[in-house]
Amino acid sequence: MPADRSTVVRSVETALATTLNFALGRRLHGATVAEFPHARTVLATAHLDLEILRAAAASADPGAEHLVVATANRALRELSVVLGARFYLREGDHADFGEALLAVTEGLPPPSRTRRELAERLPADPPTRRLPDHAARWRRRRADGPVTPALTDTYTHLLAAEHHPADSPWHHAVLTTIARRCDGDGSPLPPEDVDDIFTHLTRGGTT
Amino acid sequence: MPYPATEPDSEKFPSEAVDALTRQGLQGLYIPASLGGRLTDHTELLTALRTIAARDLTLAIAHGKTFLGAVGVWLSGSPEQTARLAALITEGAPVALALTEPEHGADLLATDTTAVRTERGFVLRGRKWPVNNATRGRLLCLLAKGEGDALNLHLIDKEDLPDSGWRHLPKVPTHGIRGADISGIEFDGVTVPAGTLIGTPGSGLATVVKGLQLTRTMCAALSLGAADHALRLALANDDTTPWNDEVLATALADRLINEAVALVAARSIHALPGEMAVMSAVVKYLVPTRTDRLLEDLADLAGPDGDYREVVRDHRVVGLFDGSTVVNLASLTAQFPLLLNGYRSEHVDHDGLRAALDLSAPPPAFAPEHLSPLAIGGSSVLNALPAHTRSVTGPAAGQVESLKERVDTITARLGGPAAPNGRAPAERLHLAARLTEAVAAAACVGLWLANAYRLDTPLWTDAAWLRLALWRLENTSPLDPRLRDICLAESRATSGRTPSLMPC
Repeated sequence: MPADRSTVVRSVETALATTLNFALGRRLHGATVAEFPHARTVLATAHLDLEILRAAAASADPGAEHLVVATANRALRELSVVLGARFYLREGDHADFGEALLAVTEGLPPPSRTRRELAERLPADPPTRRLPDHAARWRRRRADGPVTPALTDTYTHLLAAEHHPADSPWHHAVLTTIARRCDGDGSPLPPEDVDDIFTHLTRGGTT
Repeated sequence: MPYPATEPDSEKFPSEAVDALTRQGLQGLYIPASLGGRLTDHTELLTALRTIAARDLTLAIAHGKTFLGAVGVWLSGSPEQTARLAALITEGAPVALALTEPEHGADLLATDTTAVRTERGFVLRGRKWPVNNATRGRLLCLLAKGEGDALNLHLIDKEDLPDSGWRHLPKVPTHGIRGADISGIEFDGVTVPAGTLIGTPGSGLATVVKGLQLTRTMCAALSLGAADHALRLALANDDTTPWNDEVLATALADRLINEAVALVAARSIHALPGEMAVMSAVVKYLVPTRTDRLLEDLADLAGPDGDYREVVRDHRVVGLFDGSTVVNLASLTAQFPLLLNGYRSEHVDHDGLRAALDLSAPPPAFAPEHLSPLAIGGSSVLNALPAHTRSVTGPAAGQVESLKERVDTITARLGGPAAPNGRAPAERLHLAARLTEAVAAAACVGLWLANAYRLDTPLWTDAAWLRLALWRLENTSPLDPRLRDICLAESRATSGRTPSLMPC
């Protein structure tokens, strides 16, 4: 891929930092954007996406490439909603975001291609040990019919669970996020996780 | 439609193509028929803009923005203002809507631009940025603060302005729609005539809110056109593997869902105007969001062609127009109690719903006085789902029953207090997003029930398109290969002219 995995991780780090700065400084409806629950949730979830990205970027598993591409695209798509019209501008204080977006969306193959490539070489026995409930669901889906895009996404998320470091302070939140995505459940992070991660981010914690 | 081709990714405004569309009279569709225009049915405007967007999104945006600029005058202008504006638009004058300011974005109540009344008219001060067609637009519909901080709309004709006291702000380079005139305008004490005020003092925000119900619905044309363009490029790939066929059929399902909800919403402008606060938010959230994903999903088949990348980049801006995804979801959360009551009581405007769904007859005349900032009875389209479920028989009946159970679950969670602007918890916005899918599904069921008896194309026979759409919205089971084959066979037999619920 023209953009290597470390470039992808850096791009999402840049996008998160740019959006966080915007959210802390921009005022709407009498408050900063960072005080809005939706924006806080997106920023905290993007931090978890970075953790997933870093785990996947270091993996040689056949699913890693799709996980990198899909997670980076997802994180940038969500962050762009918080940044609003600024994400679309090529000049100004937030132009770094647009560059990061192009690096990921045009420097990488599209998620639809990496998903297909993964499906074509999906191992017969995917790593399912850490999420047994979801593994059972995975197996049921496989029995239902051909490999579907949703199924390969499930596989790659299981892969992230395998590689995410257990000593990360966000390990539980990462696993919960992965489990929800395996389920096709797009519900947001619980507010307590959002607050913990957001506090970490605004106290100068690394993104 | 013959018009000069534009350069891919060009930074140059597509003047020749815009002028060609104007010579053909497209702008007549922006003007109500009662004022001498051709706008009698908003689905015609939807179809026209979609057709252009399927070739060139920048062009559709550059020309179509005049409707956005004019709609506030159609809703609240005096007879003299509406007649004058209709005449100018007919001649080809572009109109822009100047709402946003650099520091306030969607927070219109924080508008800093002022229009202070004097003996000679109004003195304007402030900056509007970024504004589509701010520089090229001869006229501006401008939101400004007046006496007592009341928000007013003014129709400004730049040809009436003196040479000093105002200036254009430079074009903003954007990632997509690079040729569009995204720029701004600044006023520094310029005086405009008293006759620029639209409606009564203090009515500006209410007019904008109602106007956005129409323009948000029309934004679906841009997404539908982008999806048409993408499908055309993807269908040109003749690598017909089972995987590719499933990806194509899934994209067709998404496009059919988007068409159904856009079509019902556009007809609802005429048939159910009092419910547009819900329908416009549903269509403006759902259609661009699903189209962004559709474009992502088709990229493997259609890319890495430069044309395709341009479509993807261009379309990303549509979600921002006329209220972002979050703005639209938040407006739905504010109406949760109304939606819950309406669904529980199965409150349905039967005549209006029939007119919104029955494609065999043109919709009734638009009655703008019935637009409302809130949908008091919720959504007839959604509220009719229980009755419609009881009426569906045949191959789709099981899916519809299952859908109705899911919608029951979603609506049961709509209770609870409304949050102030921007403060809705993330899970409430997530629920609003799920609600948009419920309304879309209900629109599909209603549309099919109202028209299937008289249509026997492969798409309508045995509820093929409805089953495909509900399969996609349900997203839990493998695709029935027979449905996939019906859709793809029709697409391939017509050289990429994909099966559609709309004439285009």
